Amino acid sequence: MRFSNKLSTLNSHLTKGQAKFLRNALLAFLLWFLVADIQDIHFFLIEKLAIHSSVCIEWFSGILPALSKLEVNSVGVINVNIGDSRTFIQIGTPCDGWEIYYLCAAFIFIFPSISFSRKLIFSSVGILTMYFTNVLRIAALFFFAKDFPDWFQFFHHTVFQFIVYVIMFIVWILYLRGKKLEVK
Amino acid sequence: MDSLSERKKIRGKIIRFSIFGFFIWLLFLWIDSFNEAIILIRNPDSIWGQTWLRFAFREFKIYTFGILGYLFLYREKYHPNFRFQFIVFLTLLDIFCISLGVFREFVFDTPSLTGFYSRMVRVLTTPVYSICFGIYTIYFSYSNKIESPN
Repeated sequence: MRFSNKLSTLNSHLTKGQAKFLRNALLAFLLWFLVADIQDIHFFLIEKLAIHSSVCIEWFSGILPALSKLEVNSVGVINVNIGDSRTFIQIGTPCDGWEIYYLCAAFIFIFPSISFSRKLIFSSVGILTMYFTNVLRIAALFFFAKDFPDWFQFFHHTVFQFIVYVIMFIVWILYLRGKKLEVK
Repeated sequence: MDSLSERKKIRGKIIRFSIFGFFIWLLFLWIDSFNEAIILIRNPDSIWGQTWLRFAFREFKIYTFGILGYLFLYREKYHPNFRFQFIVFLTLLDIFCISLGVFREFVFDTPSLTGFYSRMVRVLTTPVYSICFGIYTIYFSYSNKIESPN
C-alpha cells in the first residue's frame, strides 16, 4: 500500500483503545506545556528534596549539613546549596525530578480502560519511589563531591539518571503486567 | 489468552524489550558523552560551534533511536501498523519541534516557549520515545487480541 494511502487509513487501523491512548497522550503532552514551569511546584519539590537529603546525609555521616536559602538565578532557575565548610552541592530546578514524576504518572494515566485506583496506586508508588531515589542520589552526590570528586559527573549524569529510568520502567511494566484490556 | 504459552510469550517479549532498552540507553549515554565533551563547549573555533551542524547532530540522534526502535518492532514481528505509527508520530513530533525552533528564531520567543522547546528536544533526543512506544506496542498487540479494530 502506498504511504499516502496508508496515512489516510491510519485512523481506521487504530483500535478504540489505541485511539483513546493517543488522544490522552496528546492531552498529557499539552498539559505538560502548562504545568512544566509552575514555580510553586519547583519551590516545593526543591525545598523538600533539600531538607530530606540533608537529613539523609546526617543519617550517614552524623553531621547535619547547612542549607542555604532558596534563590532564583538570572535565568529563572531555583537553587539551594547543601554542604559544609569544605564541600557543597547545588540542587537546581532540573534536579527536582518534576519532569520524570510527570512522565511516570502521565504514562500510567493515559492507558485507557484500567481502573482509576490502579492508576492512582501505581503513579503514587512510582513518584514516591523516584522521589526517595532522588533523595538518596543527592546524598550520594554530596559524598562523591566530598570524597571522590573525579567520579561526581559520571554518577550525576550517567549512573543515577539510568537508575531513575530503570525504576520508572519497572513501575510501568508492573502496572501493565497481566493487565487485560477491559472493553467497555 | 491466559494460557501458559501465551504468558511465556509475553514475558519473553518484555525481557527482550528490556534488553533492547538497556542497550539503546547505553548508546544514548555514549552519544551524550560526545555531545557534552565536544558540542556543548561551543568553542567558536570548532566546527561544532556551527548551528547547522548541531542541528544535524540532533536529528542524527533522534533518528538513530527512531530507526533502532523501528528495527526492534520489525524484528519482533509486531503488526506493521505499529511500525508505521512509530515512524509517523516520531516524524510529526520532529516536524513540530523544527517548526517551533523556526518560529522562535524568526517570529518571537518567550522563556516558557524556550523551556517547552528545550524539553521537547530533550525527550526526542533520548530513547524515551522509543521505550514508551515499545511499551504501547507490547500492551496493545496483546490487548488487540480481544479488541478488534474499528
